Amino acid sequence: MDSENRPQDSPGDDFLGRLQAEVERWQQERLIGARQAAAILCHYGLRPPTAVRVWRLGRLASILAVVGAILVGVGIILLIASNRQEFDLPRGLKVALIMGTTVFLYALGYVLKYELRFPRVGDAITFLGAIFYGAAVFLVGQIYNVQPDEPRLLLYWFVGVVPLAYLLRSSPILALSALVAAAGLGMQAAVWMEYSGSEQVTAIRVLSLYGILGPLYYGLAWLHEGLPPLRDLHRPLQVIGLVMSLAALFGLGFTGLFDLTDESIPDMLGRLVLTYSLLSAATVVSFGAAFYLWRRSLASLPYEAVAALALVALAFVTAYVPIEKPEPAAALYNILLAAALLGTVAVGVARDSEAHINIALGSFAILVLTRYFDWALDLFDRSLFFLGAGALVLAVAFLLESYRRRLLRQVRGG
Amino acid sequence: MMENRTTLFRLAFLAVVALQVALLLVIIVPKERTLATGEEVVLQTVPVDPRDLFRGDYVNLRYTISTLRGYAGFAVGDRIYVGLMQQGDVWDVRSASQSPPDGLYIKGRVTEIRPDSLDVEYGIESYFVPEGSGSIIENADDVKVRVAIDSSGNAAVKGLLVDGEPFKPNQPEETPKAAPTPVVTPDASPPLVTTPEPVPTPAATPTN
Repeated sequence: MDSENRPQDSPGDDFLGRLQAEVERWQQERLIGARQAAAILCHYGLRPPTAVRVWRLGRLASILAVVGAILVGVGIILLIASNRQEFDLPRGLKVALIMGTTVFLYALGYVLKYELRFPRVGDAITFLGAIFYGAAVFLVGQIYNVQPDEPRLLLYWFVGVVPLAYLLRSSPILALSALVAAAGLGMQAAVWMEYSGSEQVTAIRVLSLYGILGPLYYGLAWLHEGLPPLRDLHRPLQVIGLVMSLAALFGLGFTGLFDLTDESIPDMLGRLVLTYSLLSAATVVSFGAAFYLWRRSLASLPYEAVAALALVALAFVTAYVPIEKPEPAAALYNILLAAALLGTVAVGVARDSEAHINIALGSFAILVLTRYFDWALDLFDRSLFFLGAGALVLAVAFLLESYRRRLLRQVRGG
Repeated sequence: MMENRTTLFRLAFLAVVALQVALLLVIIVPKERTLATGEEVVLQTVPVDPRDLFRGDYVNLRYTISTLRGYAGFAVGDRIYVGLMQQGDVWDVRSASQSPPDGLYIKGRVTEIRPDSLDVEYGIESYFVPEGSGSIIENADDVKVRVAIDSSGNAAVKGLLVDGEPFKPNQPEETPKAAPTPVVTPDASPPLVTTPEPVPTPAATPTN
């Protein structure tokens, strides 16, 4: 214990001992983060004043290392992808270089993190390895003139990096895996639909696919959060799942998308139906498992599960049922998106999650801006729409404020 | 105990890296086998919409065998086996069926059905070129593709023949052409010319 650093009128050792134990427990229970823990312990002289600076420098080093890794990764990819004559090498040597670089990056990341004790830079280099491996898949494809829009290349990337995310408990690599899987599924659906020749129907069905995949990621996030060894990995799935769900609704809210008067609507392909069904079943299973894990403190899980499964059902219907009237359909998706955004804010407040609130507010701003230009309404109609929507949101705020005051009175009275 | 866990972790890490290398080999090995053991044929390309021909760093290719006329009984997405026969210096369609025919054939997938024809893709519709050299192909009069086809009908691109000569992305622009008919690019850039080179033999080295 560093007695010189204690503030004047410092409390006794019993208190400090208990405080130290409490702070550790608070941190484990996620009531406070590492920065707050360091600040409290510094304040009571239980850590030297430099501890907070050490934490800040560590965080800065982590961020810079990841940014640096991404920049180097993009640079290497562009360098090889440019296929310049100056670097024209025999095919075997190119393949060996690509494979060698992948293995070298992983080895370097491992040595830096576990042997030389540079965990942040080591993690960043391993993340770079995961990016480079994806580039390697596409570069090898390029060497052998494989179609660049071949979805199986993204499948190889996903299958290669997802075990690494769990082995290293790496959130950036899990986020990368989730995005690659989403891109691969979207591309595969688009390739299947390409045969039908209708771009709009392809767009509707790919958006519907994301309307199922987003809730699946969100359900998996709940599942990860309920399992202590995987708890640190829940955030990327939660954020990607939420953004993907909102983005699917947002995409379906464009009036032009359902204007299919000149289009023949092709039947759903069996493979696509199977994909939708498997993803939907996985979503139900993940929320079911989350209910079991969180059975003692469900909190907002039931509401979020209902919303997620409703989106899955809606996505299924959207993909299957030909929509004949574009305007009402687009209006419905916009209303549902607005409801989803309000729900996201409510969840953010209930769970004290800044991520939920920030995502909802950012999406709201994008929604208002795009719809202002998308809807070909007269100025007068537009004005009525925004007046009506604004009045509705203000009324909700007024009701919330009234409810809050009532709660406050109860708290003070009790 | 701790040492065992560290060893296990190391092994698991190595296994994941090995899995990634194995997945790369899944792409490489079949293509190398096709290139090494496949019979070489030359396929004639057909012009495509110039706006779509060159995208990024690769060229979109369509062949005379990409459109089949007079074949029925296929659905979009079906596997198709196209028998090939040599006609002059290129190979053309001999038959199309849902099972492998006798003789040399190439495996494809039906992508579109029209009243009088089928569109087929064979997985050889892309050719990657060095950055900025796509216009040479785009402005050529005649583009043929050297393709290796193995005994199972899998195909891999070996190289391009541009106006009868192997594609050279770094060919000098100012060297006079054997036949004095320079190709003028639409944006009035200096005329592209090619240096005379021997026509490749089937055993020529792949360009990639």
